[in-house]
Amino acid sequence: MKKAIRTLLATSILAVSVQAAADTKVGFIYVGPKSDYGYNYAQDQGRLYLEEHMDDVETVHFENIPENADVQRVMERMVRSGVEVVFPTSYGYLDHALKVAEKYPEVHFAHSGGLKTSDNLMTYFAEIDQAMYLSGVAAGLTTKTNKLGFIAAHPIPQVLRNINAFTRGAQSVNPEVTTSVIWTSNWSDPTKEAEAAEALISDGADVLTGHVDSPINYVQVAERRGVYSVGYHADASQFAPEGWLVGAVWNWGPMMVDIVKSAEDGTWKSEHLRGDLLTGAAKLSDFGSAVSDEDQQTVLDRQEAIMNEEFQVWAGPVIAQDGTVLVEEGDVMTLEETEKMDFLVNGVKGRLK
Amino acid sequence: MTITTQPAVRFGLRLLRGPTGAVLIMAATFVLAALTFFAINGRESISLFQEMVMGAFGDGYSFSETLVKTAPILLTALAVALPARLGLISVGGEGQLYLGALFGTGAVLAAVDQPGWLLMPLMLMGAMAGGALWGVIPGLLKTRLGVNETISTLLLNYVGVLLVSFVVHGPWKNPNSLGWPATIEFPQGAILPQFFDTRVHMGLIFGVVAAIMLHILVTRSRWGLGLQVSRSNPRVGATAGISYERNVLIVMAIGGLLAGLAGIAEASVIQNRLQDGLASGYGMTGFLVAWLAGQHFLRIIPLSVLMGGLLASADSLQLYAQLPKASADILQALLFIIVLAVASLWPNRPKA
Repeated sequence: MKKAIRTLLATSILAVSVQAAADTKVGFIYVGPKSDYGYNYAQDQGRLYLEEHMDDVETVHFENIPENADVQRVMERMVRSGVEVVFPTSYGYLDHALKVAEKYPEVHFAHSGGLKTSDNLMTYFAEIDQAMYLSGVAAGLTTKTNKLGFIAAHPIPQVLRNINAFTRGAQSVNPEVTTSVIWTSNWSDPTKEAEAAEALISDGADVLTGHVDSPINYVQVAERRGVYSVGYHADASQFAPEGWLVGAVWNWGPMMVDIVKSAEDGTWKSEHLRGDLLTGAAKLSDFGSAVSDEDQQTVLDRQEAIMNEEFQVWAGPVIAQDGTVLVEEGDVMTLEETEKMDFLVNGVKGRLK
Repeated sequence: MTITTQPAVRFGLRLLRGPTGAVLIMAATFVLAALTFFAINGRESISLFQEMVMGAFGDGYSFSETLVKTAPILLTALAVALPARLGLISVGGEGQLYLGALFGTGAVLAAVDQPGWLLMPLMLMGAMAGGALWGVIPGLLKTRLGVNETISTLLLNYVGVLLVSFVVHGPWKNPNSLGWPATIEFPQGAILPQFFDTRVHMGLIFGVVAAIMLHILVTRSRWGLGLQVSRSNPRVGATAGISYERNVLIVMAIGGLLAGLAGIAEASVIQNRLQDGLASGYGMTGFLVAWLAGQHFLRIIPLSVLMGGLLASADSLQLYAQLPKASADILQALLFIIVLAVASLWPNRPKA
């Protein structure tokens, strides 16, 4: 009798798992609202792409989950409801995701932008600093005050790369340019972002950009105060019809499809998967009318040079704020070095907290 | 015409007029309000409500996560209920929780190489000292300067949260975290014991034991009687040798100490480190629970479990119905309003 029950149990478990295998459930966790026209919006666009391009995929998603241990419960609930691939999309989820991944070795985790992996946790990201460099070129050509403003959340490598790349891009066409940085210590704090934008403009900046979850706040302030803006994460040009120059945007969809497929067919690798301008995971948005055709061509030429690998964003000389030469002329920073970036370049005004 | 009522029915009616009836009406109204809220959002109310109940108590895992939320709510509710015995309205649980986490983490960082038998007590003592400090300060302000304790505890909450933010962005930031604002992970010796391979931890035991002890102390001891006298008439109390001022400091310190324990338990077991967003508003939820329980220590225990369940099961609202996370906050507010409204309308209202 006992044996019969056990067999029954085993077959029913098998039946359940076979049924689950028919449809891959994929779960997404966002730190903010998916309607932020920024980071979370871009990740959610990836999710929608995934649903559209893979018939056997079903997705669930959570918004506004803070970067604390609450996210562990959210991930466990997802896994317990049958989710087989989890996308914890915010930087601060990494350590929590590693813990949950250890507990559920049969589930796959793909973390956005982290620098740690485990057997069933990989990371995906893209070298969007290439697009930020190009946006910097547009900003350097446009600015009249030679002052750019950058609103930044946390002094982590991703953000430093963008500040530095943006500044170097602008300097490449306009050596007089400086970038002032204001930290908000939060991925999303609309009040602080708007205040920072006001302060930067009052200080003379006439092109604003940033690295916070949603570009809307500073883009709107810039538009109202009559200065230019460079977007980040997603195309926010509708919020600044006059002052929008260009922006660096994500295109996660194809990458997410690859990740989910690899989980399905067993080719999953515990790795740091990185895209760039060439793979299309990071892109330059459309130009706004504020950028002249000639300047647009300059930016596009530079883009082609990057895609042909004739030109590298992190080719020396890379000079720190205090004038120290960090990378000699002729050397190029490796991807690993850029992903651990802990400095600001010459021409950036602001401190690393 | 005369109506002859059976004794049983009469007994039932009397019961309904009393506190039991009030609680039943509260529960029914809340369920109705929640169902309406779901329906307004265009969801299948009943099944969604079922999902929520299952998400809170449906299986071992769900219940364990409910208990994880219960611990800090219970401790911060006690931190409100004890001062209330003296007629004080403290809303400082959140700040006391953060100060407990701050001082406890300070102890851990200072003695990080010490073995667990030394590190753990140091951490707990630090946490209790930090929480108690954030209780005593408003106590002193009240007794020495006559500053309203509700205002001072409320404002000190912000100071506590920002102090933690300051240290994790600055001096205590883990140098190997690539700029991410958080301390190092706590060493194994500084992680409070957990039960049954879940995240349920010692903090819950602290809370339950503290609730029972406080109940006995306040209802059975001379000191408890003294609190009652002090509350109703401090001058009469003074003639009997009961110092109102000293009692204010004692209840605020003990309350703060308990909230401080909640803070270090969150940092140690749940987050494994000190970081921003440590408490997700437990202090305020604790305040609600203390008031729902009529400041009764033993009633606080089951109510904390219920409230923990409500918060923990909010996930299912997103998972199954894609309702925004704020829905849980809305339900919590609905519950509070309904309880207060019913309590004030009911003839034999429960002491609240």
